[in-house]
Amino acid sequence: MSAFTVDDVRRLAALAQLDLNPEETEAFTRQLGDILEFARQVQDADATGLEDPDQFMLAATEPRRDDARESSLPRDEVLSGAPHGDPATGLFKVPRVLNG
Amino acid sequence: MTLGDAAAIRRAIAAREVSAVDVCRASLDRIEALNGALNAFITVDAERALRRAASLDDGPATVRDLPLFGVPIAVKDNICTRGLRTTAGSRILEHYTPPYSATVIERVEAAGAIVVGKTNCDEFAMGSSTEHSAFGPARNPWAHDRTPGGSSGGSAIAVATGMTPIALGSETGGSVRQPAALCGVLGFKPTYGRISRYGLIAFGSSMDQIGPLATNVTDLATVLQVLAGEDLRDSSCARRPADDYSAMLNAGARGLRIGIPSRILAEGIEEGVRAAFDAATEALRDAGASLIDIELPHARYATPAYAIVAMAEASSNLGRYDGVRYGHRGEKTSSLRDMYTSTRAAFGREVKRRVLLGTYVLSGGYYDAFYTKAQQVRALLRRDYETAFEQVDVVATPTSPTTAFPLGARVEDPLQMYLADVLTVSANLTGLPAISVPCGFAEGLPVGLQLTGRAWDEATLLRGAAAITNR
Repeated sequence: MSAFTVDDVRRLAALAQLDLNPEETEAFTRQLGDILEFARQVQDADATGLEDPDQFMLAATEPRRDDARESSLPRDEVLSGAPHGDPATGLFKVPRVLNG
Repeated sequence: MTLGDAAAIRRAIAAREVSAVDVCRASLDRIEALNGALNAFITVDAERALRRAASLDDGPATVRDLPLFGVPIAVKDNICTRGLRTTAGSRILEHYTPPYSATVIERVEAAGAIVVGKTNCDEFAMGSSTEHSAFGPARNPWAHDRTPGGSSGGSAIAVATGMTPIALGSETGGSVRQPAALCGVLGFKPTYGRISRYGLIAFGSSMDQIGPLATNVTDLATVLQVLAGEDLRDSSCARRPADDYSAMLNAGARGLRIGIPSRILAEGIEEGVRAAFDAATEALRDAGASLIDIELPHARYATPAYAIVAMAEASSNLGRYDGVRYGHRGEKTSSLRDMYTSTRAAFGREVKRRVLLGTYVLSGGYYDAFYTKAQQVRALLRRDYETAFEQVDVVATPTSPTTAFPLGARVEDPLQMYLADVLTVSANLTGLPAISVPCGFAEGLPVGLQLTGRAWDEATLLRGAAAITNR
C-alpha cells in the first residue's frame, strides 16, 4: 500500500463521525501511515494449520441464567446523566432525525 | 500517623489502636500533601470516605473481621462508582456520575475497604504514560520530570507514595503492570475472566481486565481474593470459583521452573533494566528455582497484533459516546451528525488516532489483512505459551524495556509509546495471568520483573512474586 494521504484520513474521519482540525489531519496522515506500516508485520506470521482463529478465548460462553426478565436500574436514575434528558417523562431530546 | 500496608491497618484497627476514621484521615492528608505535585487523583471525596469510615467504626463487631476492614483504596477513574464522578480521564465524561457501582467496587466495599478517590489515567485507558489524560499528566514519584507509566499511573503513584496501601487499575495491554514497574510497586493482571468487568468503562473488550496494585504480595493476594469469582452481570467472567491465593505465598522458589525467553530479551532492553532482571533471576536460582531457556517464536508479532485488536475494539466501543444518553453533548446540534461530531470533538488526540485506525482495520478490504491476521497471531502466541508451560511453571521477563521515561518524550510519537508495552501485551492477547514485581533499581529508578503463568494459575504467580520480594 502506498503512504496514507490526507484524503484517506478525511474519509476515515467521516466514517467514524469525527471532525478533525487541519493540524490533526496533517499529524494523523503521517502517524497513521507509520502505525499501519508497523501493524502490517502481522502478515508475516505463518498461520498455516490454525483452524479456529477464536481459540485464544478463555472464558466459557455457555448461557448463565434463564432468559427471564430481571430487575434493572430505575429509569429516572439511568436518565439522570443524559445531557438533554427528562427523567420525569423518561425521554431525552435529540436533533431531528428525519428531514422535512 | 503513617499508613502501613493493608494487613497492618486491619490489625491496628482490630486491636483498636486506631479507628477507621483515623486511618482514612491519614490517607486523605497524605493525598492532600502530595497530589498537587503528582496529580495522581482526578477526584477525591473526603466527606464520602470519612462518612463511610465512621459507619464502619460504628458497625457491629463482626464486620471487623472483614479482610479489608477500614483499608483506604484508590480506584482508577474508568471504574464506575455510584454517586462518585467517573471520568475515564476524558472531557466527554467530565461531569458523569454513574448510577451504579462496578462489581469490584461492591466487592471491596463489602470487604470493608473505603474508596477515597478516583485516580488519573490516560483517556479511556489508552496510553502508557498517563499523559493522555484530559486532567493533566501525572508524575512519577521517583522523578517528577518522568511519567509514572500508564494507563493506571494514578493508582501506581497512590500505592508507591503511601496515599493508599492498595489500588485498583485496569489493563488492556499492560496498564497495571507497566506503571507498577515504573513506580516500584506490585501490579497484577489476573487471567481474562477471573474478575468481573461489570462497571469497567470498555476499551478493548477481548483484553480488558481489572487488576490490583499493592506494596507487597500478601496484600495483593488479599485483594485478589476479594475481587475474584463469577459475576452473572459480566458474561465474560468465568464460572469458576476463586482459589486460595495466600496458600502458596511461603512456598519459596525451590523447585519453581522459570522460563526465560532469552532470544526476545537479547535486544531492546535497557542495560540497567537487564542487570536488575538478571540479578533477580539469579537470586531465584540460588534459592532453588531452575532457569530454563525457552522460545516464544511469535512474540515479535505481539505488539503489532495488539495495536490492531486494541484499536479495532476501541473504535467499536467508543461509538457509544454520542451525546445522547450520558456524558457531554457538543454545541452543534442542527443535525444528528453535527451532534455526534461536535460531541466527539471532546475526545483527545490519542483516542481519535485509535478510533481512526480501528475504523481502518475493520473496513472492507483491510479486515482480513489486519484484524483476522491479528486474531491468528493471538492463537499462535497462545500455542507458544502452552508449549513453554510443558517445561516451565512461569515465564520471566522485565515488565518494561526501560525505566520511567521523561514527560513529553513520547506523547506525540505514538509508535514509541506503543513499544513501551512490548513485553506486557502478550498476556492480554492470550488472556494469561501476569504480575509485575519490583526487582531493583537502575540509575535510581525502579525496575519491575514480570512473571506470566498458566491460565487460572494466579497462585503460582503470587508464589513466584513472594520469592522475588523475599530474596
